[in-house]
Amino acid sequence: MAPNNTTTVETPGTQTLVGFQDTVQQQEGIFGPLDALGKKDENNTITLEIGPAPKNRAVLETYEGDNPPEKTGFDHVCKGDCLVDGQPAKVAAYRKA
Amino acid sequence: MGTTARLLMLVAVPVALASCAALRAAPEPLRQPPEAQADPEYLVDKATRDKYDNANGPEEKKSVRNEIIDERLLEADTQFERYEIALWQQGVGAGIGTDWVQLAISGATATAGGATTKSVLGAVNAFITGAKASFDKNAFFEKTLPAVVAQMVAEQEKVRASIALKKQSPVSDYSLYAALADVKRFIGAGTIPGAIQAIAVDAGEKKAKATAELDSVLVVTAVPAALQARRENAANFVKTLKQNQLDELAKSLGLAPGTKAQVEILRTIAGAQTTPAFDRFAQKLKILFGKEV
Repeated sequence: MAPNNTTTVETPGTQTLVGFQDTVQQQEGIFGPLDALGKKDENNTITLEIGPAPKNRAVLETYEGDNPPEKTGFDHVCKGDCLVDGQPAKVAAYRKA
Repeated sequence: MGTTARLLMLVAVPVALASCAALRAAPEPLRQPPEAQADPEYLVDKATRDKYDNANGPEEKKSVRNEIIDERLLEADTQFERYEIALWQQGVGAGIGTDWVQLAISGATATAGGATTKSVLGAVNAFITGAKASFDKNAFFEKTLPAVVAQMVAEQEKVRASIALKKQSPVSDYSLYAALADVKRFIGAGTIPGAIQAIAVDAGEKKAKATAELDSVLVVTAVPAALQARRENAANFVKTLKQNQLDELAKSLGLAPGTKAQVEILRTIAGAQTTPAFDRFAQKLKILFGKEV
């Protein structure tokens, strides 16, 4: 069960990575910083901390392997097994440092 | 007809009329589509249906359908708010009216000449006083009616949660007409008969359950930049509110006050994915805090 200072919303797993990222960034603008990504049935889950909206919104990238690669100039936020274009995909979230 | 009889009729006729309602065994037979669709009760006009019918492809149809649902729910919410205000005004008006009748008869009892007339007037006064004890504002408008209205809101939230779920469905599974039937169900839930039907179940529990159901299925997608700017403005404002203000806003939105009020309000903002849906929320901020978003 999520702690009281976070909340989770869902978004369709049929979206492109760009659409998924737009949704994450908009939700950060409403709730606060991204905390976790995942999937539930045919949707992706987005868990967010309740707080001020981050100035630099999260950017999403797909990756292969166990861990997401480092991204120069960005901090790693979280990773999750998600759906992109309706297909399973490993997605990493980064935020500009 | 004597004075006594006329006095009794004056009291009895309105009571009888008030309690008399046409009773039919079944609804009227179904009308043919052209006749039915011309009826305002059909919820949408021809131009709106044409917009849906002429939409290109299932995705556009779905988008048009969802806009129509949001617009009709907004209208239903607006009418319900007016209804709540009217109920409150009727409650106050009925109390005053009864008081005036009672005062007039008490005065007549004191000044009437004959013992019989005095006796009958006294009996009528006792009847009205008794009726007032049963139906006056203390018993009905201050206790029963708020419970009935709470039940209406609870039932509406249950239907709203169900509609929110179905809005994710393609038009092949959830047509505009199925959606309009649900909107009618939503409207019906916000009526006294609809509330009485479900009054046996505790309103608080049902609302909490419906809210939780809505909470667990909040599915969001990206919205146009202009709407998002308004949503973020509203969310930033909500985050500055004190707990008592959050509670006040939560109650106005049909949400439970308390420690989860802020997150539930933010979820309401996130769930407002069309301009009409967000306008409903924005209206509350304007009324309660004078804040334009």
